[in-house]
Amino acid sequence: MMMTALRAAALVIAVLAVADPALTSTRRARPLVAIVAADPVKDALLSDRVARELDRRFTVVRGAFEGASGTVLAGDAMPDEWSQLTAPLMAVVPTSPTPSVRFAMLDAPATSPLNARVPVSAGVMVIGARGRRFDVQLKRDDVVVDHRSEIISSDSAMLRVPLVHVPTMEGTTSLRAVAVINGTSIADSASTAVDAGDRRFDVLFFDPRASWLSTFVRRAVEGDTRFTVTHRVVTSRGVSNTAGAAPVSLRDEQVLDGFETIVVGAPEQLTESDAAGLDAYMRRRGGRVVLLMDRRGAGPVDRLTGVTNWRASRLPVAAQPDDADGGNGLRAQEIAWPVTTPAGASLHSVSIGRDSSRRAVVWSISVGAGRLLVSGALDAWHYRDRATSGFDSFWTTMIAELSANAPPVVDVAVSQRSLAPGETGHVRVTVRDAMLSNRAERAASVAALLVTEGDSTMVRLWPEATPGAFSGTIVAPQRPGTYRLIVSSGSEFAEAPIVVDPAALAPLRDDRNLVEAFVSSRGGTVVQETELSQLPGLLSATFQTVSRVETWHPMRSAWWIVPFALLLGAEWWWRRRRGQA
Amino acid sequence: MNAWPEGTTVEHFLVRVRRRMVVLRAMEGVAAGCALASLFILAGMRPDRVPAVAALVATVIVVAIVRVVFGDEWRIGWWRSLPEIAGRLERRTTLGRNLIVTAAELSHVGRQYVRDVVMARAAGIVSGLDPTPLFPARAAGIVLTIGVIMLAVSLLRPAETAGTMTRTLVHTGGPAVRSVEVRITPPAYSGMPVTTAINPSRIEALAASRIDVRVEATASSVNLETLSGTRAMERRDGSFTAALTAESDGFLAMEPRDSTGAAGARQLVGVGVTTDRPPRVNLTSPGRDLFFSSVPDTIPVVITADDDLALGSVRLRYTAVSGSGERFTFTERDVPVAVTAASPRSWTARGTWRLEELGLAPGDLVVYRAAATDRRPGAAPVESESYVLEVVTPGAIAAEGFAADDQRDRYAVSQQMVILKTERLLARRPSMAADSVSVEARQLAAEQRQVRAEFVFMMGGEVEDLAAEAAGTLELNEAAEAEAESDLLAGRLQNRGRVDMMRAIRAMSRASSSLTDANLDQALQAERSALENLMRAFARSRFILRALTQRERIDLERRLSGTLSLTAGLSGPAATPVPDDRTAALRRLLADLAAMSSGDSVAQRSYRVTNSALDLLRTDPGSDSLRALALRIQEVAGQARTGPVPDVRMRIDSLVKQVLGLVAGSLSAAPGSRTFLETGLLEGALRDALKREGRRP
Repeated sequence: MMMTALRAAALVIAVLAVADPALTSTRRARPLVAIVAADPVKDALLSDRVARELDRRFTVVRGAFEGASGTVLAGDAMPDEWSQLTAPLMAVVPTSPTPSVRFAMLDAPATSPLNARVPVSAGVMVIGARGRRFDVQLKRDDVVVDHRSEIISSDSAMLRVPLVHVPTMEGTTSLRAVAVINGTSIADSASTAVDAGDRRFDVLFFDPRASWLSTFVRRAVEGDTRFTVTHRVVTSRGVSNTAGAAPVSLRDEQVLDGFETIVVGAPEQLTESDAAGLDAYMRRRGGRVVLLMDRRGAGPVDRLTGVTNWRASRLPVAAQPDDADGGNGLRAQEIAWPVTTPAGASLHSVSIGRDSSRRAVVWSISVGAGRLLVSGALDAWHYRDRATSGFDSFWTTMIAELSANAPPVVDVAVSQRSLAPGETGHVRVTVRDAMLSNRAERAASVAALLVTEGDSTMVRLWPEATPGAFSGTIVAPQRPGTYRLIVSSGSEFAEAPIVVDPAALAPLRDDRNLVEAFVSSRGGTVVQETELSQLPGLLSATFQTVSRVETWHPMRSAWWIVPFALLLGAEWWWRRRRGQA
Repeated sequence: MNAWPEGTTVEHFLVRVRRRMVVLRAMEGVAAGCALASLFILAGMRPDRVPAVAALVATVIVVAIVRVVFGDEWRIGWWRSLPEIAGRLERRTTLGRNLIVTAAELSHVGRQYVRDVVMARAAGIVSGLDPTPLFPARAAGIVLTIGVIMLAVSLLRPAETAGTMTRTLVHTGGPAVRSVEVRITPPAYSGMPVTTAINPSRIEALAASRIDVRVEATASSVNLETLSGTRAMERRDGSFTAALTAESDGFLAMEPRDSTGAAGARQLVGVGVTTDRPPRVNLTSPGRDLFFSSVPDTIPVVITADDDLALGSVRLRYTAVSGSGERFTFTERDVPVAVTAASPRSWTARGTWRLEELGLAPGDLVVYRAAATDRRPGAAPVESESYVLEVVTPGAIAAEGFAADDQRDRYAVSQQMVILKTERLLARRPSMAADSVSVEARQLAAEQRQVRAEFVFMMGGEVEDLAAEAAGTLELNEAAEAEAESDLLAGRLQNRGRVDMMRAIRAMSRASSSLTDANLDQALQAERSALENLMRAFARSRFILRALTQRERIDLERRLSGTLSLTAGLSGPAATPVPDDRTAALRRLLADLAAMSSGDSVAQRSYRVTNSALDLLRTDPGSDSLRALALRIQEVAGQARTGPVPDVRMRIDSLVKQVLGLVAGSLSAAPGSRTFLETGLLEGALRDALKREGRRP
């Protein structure tokens, strides 16, 4: 009897398995919660704590996940994948120990001319160290290359610390900034990398007639090792002086492509075709144009500036207009300014009139992807004495800034230049011609390689919605060293250095306010690390209870093999015990 | 309160004794504190390690307090018990016979006959005692003096070390320089003494001094490197010697080598060379141009001169120019002056210039200046600014004694202005009354004559021409021209500027006549002719009678003038400026310094960094800051071989920061991070949209 029952049960299992019946039921779903660390390294522990806290009541996944019922952000900064975070969004912000110091920013240009000093700007958040001295060191290969020290005057301060690095040779230099509160072991560090090379900005000076202003600006630029200067000065009809391969006119934008910035002296002498060429140069190439007026006259150039009504004045004495950029500005006695400053113009140098009106003496506007800078300091070249005027430095700085922002054919930007092994970074590539072309159909293809000595890894880049824009993710190799990310598009290519350093720490922005606003905009709240136990309750209250009807196949579980085998085994054992075969 | 009146006397006396004992202990404590502080200083040795003044003062004060508090028997509170003070007093004198101790002990018990007697006798004894000889301050004073001297000497020692710029050479394994002796022999004319420096870090020498270098080294050869190159030092009597002449700022670098050619640590000595400045001479009186109609017999002369070493001579020189036109006679002579020497470096010369001996006539010119020499052999005399003494015609005199230009604005009226005014008058003539035109034309004629007079004056005064003009003759003076034939033949009038100028003057005369007649058209013609001739005259090179001093010389580079034809078709390569040598050397040095903490062997790194420091020094040998930097680098490079790593590391960091400061100052800042292309594109699109919006009615 027993044997029969066992055998029958096994048979039932086998029959049901073959039949594979389907059942339908209503279930309460266990919500899926995505946990995203603001910084994968610094917020890893906090992220683990949050996961442990939620694991009992939710299904937890790490990283942004579109199918999640909600997301918990661990950290007090916006993560790179902020756009992929699923609402509702909660955030758990760490509680800083007191006192604490933390790098919120370490900003340095990715590339620098070899013959330049590299300004490195550090932003350090210092909490609870009022009255204490605070040191920031900039180190290269463990050698201190710059150092700043100051006394903290408030309980919570974001200190901007200007540091300087001078490249000593071509190539990539890894820089580490270390901040310490004196007399304590409280410290933080951040890393970045700067790539120095003998790259110079190509600048064209084009004077339709000889102009003293343009000549002296050119002389200042020619003395600066950051530039290669080509010029054409039309001295008389059909007669001109040139240096380098200066184009005969500005009408052909293709010829101008090689220059980052074009400086035009006596712009009122430009022809219609020259103005059209410059307009195309700015829109299609993203080039920068500087117009140096030494007298005011109407002409085709007004089409570029969009200004037709000008005013001019001769000041009683040469004055230094307020330098809106904070530097040692120009001095001028004769100035010209637009009656109505063009919308969206940036003012670089303004003069205050007797009626307290602000007159834009040097200003710039966007023209397409390019930029046009106009100087109305007509006789600024008279005042070049370095003791009283910043004529040379104003123009070299201005033209260098403009040139640096002129987009290259292929541009590659990485979210972090210094990564720890295994750390993830984001890459963004733009192909200028595809992005700025005005054709209906635009196409661009790119390939990227992460290269080190004797080894290379392909990096996959994905096209974005904007034509000519691509993005991708790189995972830092395990072997420390300096890698180069080489991105090619057709015959053009661009490089970006990536330093893999086990001690690399990216500055962590303190975006508490931003995080709070972002989270509340997505129906969530911000929870302090100390109140982490409240998070499951808050999440449950936020989520709607979802019951779902599910069709399931109970016999598809592999575990049926266990009772099946046991039943057959028991039947066999029973039979042997009874002396049966 | 004491029970006996006599007890008060004893008590007061004991308090005095106690006060003196405290003072003596304090003096001893200060002395001990000074000694301890000086030991601290000597332990530090290097100027940068000397303890702070506050720490030293604190040491002295603490030791003094300890001495006072603990006393002789190292017991706190020894000063509280007056009987004990009395006991110490009794040990110093036999007069007390224990009565003072007894009195001190009885001071707070009740009165009794025996006690009254003791107290009275004790009071009697102390009234005859003086604490000063009993507790003499001599020993404490001596100790204090010794302590203070020790402290002063040890405080001065580091300052002296830095001031003399001598140093102890670092000895390491391998070839090494043990000592460097530099003997500087200034040139004989300077009268300066010979100086010798042992292991100097820097020497100062007068230009042309002889520098003898003697090096003691454990090496088979020593190379001496200077700005002009490297040479082997001569081996003599177990040491290495070399001699050179101080010419310009630079350095001496001694590099020892062993028999295999391996180099040891280089020793660097900065060399500052002071050039012998030429003397300065000033003609104080008469320090101005003089114009006389009647020449005075004598003029007092005062000359002041100074030199950095010693003056050799001072005199007044003059050049008398007589004659007219282009026929001049030049006579050059000295005026005797008497010198008063306040010091060899500063002289004042006075004299009387006897003008009557010159026999000056109207129109004669004398150029005079002071000249001085120093004692440098073969040195050219230095002259003061030159002044002019001119004997002028009586009509030109405006004031007594000398003539000045009394109509300074006359230069304002030029020929071009006369033409312009004539043209304006012509334009206005139709609307003017005839007499008004005539009046204005005559005013113009006056101005034209004024301009003409200027050029006549420039030509040295054409009296004949003026006479001719007065006579109404405007033709060339044939006689005068014939006289000039010999000059023409001799080539002296190859310059035709004079002829053109004459023609211009005559055209001006014609213009003046026409203006007087109110014949404006003819006047304008003549004026333009005058202008053309003037332009031709000035287009040719002219004689300049009065030479310009160096200070006044015209810098043709700054005249921003040139020939138009030269500007056509100029072309060249694009400008690619390169950093200057100093910046390049600083950057190389920065790289080598940064590499000192890693990479090759210590010796190689040290060698490389000192080489870079020398390269930097070569770019600007006269710079004190670079010399000091090079010396610091040499010290650190030497220390890198032997010194403790953390200390060397700290010094390298400090050096890197110093070099970085120097190099960063000469470089422009790299532009900041680039903005995204899409951002620019978006801004441009927004502006285009706003522009379109603005155009919409």
